[in-house]
Amino acid sequence: MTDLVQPSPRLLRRLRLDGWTLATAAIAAVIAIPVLVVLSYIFVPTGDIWRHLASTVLPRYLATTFWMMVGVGLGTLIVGAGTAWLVTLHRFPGRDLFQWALLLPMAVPSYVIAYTYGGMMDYAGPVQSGLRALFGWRHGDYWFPEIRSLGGGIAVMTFVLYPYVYLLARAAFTEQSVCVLEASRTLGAGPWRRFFRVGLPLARPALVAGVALALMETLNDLGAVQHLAVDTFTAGIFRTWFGMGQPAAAAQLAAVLLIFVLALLLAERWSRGDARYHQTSIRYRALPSLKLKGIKSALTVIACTLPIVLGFVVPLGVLIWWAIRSQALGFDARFLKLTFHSVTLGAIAAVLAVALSLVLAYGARLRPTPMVRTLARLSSTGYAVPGAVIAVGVMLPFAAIDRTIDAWAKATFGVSTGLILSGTIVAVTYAYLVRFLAISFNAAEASLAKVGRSMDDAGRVLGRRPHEILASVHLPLLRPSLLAAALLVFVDVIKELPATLILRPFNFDTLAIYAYDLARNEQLAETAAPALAILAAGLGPVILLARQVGRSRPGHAL
Amino acid sequence: MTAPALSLTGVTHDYGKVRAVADLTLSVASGEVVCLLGPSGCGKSTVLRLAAGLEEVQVGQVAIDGVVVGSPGAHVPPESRNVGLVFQDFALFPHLTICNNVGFGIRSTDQDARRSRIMAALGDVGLAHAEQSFPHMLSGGEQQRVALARALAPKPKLLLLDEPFSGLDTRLREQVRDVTLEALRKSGTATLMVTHDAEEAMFMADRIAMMREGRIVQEGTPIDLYRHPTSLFVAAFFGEVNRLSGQADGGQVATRLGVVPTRLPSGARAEVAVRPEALKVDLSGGSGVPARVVSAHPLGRSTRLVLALDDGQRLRARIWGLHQPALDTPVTIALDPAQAFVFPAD
Repeated sequence: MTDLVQPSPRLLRRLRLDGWTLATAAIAAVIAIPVLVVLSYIFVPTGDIWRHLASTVLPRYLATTFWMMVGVGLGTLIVGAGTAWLVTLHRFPGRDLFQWALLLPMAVPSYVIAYTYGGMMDYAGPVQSGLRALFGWRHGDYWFPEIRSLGGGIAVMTFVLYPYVYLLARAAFTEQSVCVLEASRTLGAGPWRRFFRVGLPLARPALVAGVALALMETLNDLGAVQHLAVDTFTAGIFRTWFGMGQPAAAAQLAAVLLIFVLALLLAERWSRGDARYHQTSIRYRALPSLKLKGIKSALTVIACTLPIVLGFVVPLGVLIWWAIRSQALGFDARFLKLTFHSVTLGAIAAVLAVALSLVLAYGARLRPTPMVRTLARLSSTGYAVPGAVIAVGVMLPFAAIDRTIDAWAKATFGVSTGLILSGTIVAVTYAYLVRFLAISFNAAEASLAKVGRSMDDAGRVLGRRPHEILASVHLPLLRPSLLAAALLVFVDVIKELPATLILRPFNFDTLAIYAYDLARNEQLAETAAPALAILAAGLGPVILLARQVGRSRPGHAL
Repeated sequence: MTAPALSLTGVTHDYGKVRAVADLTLSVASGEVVCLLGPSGCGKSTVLRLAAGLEEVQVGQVAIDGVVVGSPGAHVPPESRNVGLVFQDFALFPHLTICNNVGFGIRSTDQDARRSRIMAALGDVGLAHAEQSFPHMLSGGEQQRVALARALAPKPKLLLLDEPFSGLDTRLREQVRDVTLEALRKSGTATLMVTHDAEEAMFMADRIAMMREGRIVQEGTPIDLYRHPTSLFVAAFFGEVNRLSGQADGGQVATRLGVVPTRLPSGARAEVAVRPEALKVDLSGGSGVPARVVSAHPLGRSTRLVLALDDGQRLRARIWGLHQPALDTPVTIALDPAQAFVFPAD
């Protein structure tokens, strides 16, 4: 009679439900849960609260978020695409330096730049005080741009997010057919015309992708907008949950924010359109770079220096100045403990993310069925979802599970189990995986794709099983890219603020949380120590990217 | 009688809607070298992958040494089949030394035994000196030989070669072919090789199976296939042919170049394929069918001629030695009827 209960191996084979497929499906499902939870709140009636939100703050959140996206989108596009065009197709003093130095602002988290500019530019800050002292002005005598405003928010976000556009635009310009640009030149197109009529349209998919990434980071940001008093959705979610104690309403706000994200993802996919079918030629040739002279050369150098100064040198300088001024420097025992917390979380998340990604990517390679591919894709869309939304999606089910277990334990054994999941590093690690799995998955998938399929076949014919091939063939070949992926996840976790803020265990502070708390208390100078540490960690990925940029210099094949 | 090293029986294989292999039956006796020959996309590589276990059998049966290893629903995975496979791109593991590449498939725990097998396998292909090198440090020909050594080192019951020489340039190919054949003969392993190069198949094979669109269209010794092709397709695949048409009449076909014997029934339309070397060209204009020289290319040992008959039909011929006849030189052609193949016209 056992035949009836056990699924026949034949059926399993037909469904292709082997271990790897099941593992892929399980990972994808677990990673998808938080987003699905948040989405489900669209349908949960919360009555009065929602009506109250809709009639009071919702329109403001919508408008602010919209203008923030427009502003940061345009800003990063102009700065990122402009500098990329200058460095890829022109020769001027220091071009090789600018190629990678333009990436430096990536190391600065948005909340850190917001704290430094906020501290420098507000009424009591050194800039305005200095002007008053210099010209003998007093309050109300002069006009000065308000840093704590939508405009200020757009400016600081642009300063640190333009490298996303720069990086992708630079790659696109580098890959562009030399012939097309030379042809446009022989047809009499000047430099501006070449940029607007040839270079820009050809690079459009890359530019949209870059801007989309920058905007996802904008939607994700909590620290900067809170400090600069810009009421975006993410700030609203946080306030609704913790300020007003309304988790359900916060989840509904999060659901609305998800729709913004979805629109971004669709726009990015749509703009790629046919472009993904284009193959760039393998042969490289030196791009026809135009040598700039005199005033043009000077203006170009200034145009490339300015973003680096505004997005990196100024915040770094301010932090160093603060660190020196607050004599204790802030590098004390507490700082060490926070660093340890940050590093622990980063390391756990990095190792888990890389391990899960490897299973996902290898599973998809072994069984490239549509189902497995869709699942793998699904589990890597979390990068687009703001940390606050993921946190809400993790918190709600975890709290429910904890309450259930607690009630059951009380009823059965008469003891309270308290918080098992929601108040522990399980919750916050889970959120990191949801958000950052895409980074390591893309790395694992891309480098696996470079290993020829005959390597797997050779291994199997020579007597190894799939998991042994993963260990003896793929792992050694993938090691460099997996290490790089682990570093990226590690650093992103250290920089991460909103999800950590919501989900970290009680009294388990990290460097980012410490900086955030100090900034909330207006102890800006004291943020120097944690902010400098985070910034130093952030330089890791920048160095990795800079090396890639150096290797892919036009005219030099990889 | 012992069971063949490999036998495929009634195997049909589809990739989605595309039929790659259709009702194919083929066997390789132990110690025999069989070549699957056919144009690209004819399904020959699929046969190899089915034999190796890299594809699961959909219809039919695959047996190695008389043991069924693949039939619908029963699949012995490649790692349990004990077959060797040499890949078109060699597929050497770039992170392992030559020594470790060759040793990859040897599951012996005894380090000395393992090492002596590696060195023996490398010695057979003349690469014992390269054991500590990495694949990228070797030339294409050497990499191919390492791939062969790696496949033979675990002493497989069956060796599969997938276009093993197509990654090499012409000059190197002949050299590596010699080494490969010698190593195969020495090991005595039953071998199934896939190639699209007729000359290569003739060089290597005891037996050739000619494939077209998923089916075997003719099977036999290299000389059989060359001398007695059963279709125009096979005749043309083994070398250039001139095509003449005619009608069968009383066991003969009358063509522009003379009469050729046939078994086709009287009245059937016939197509006659003639190899260039079957045309005897007389440059001094003796007896035969008159023609004119359209072009002449001295190639060294022979000269390749394009000739035109009175009605304009072009024929390709090959004559020994170096000749440079002027254009429009009148010549005569005689046909060797024994080297003309008659097929029913479709």
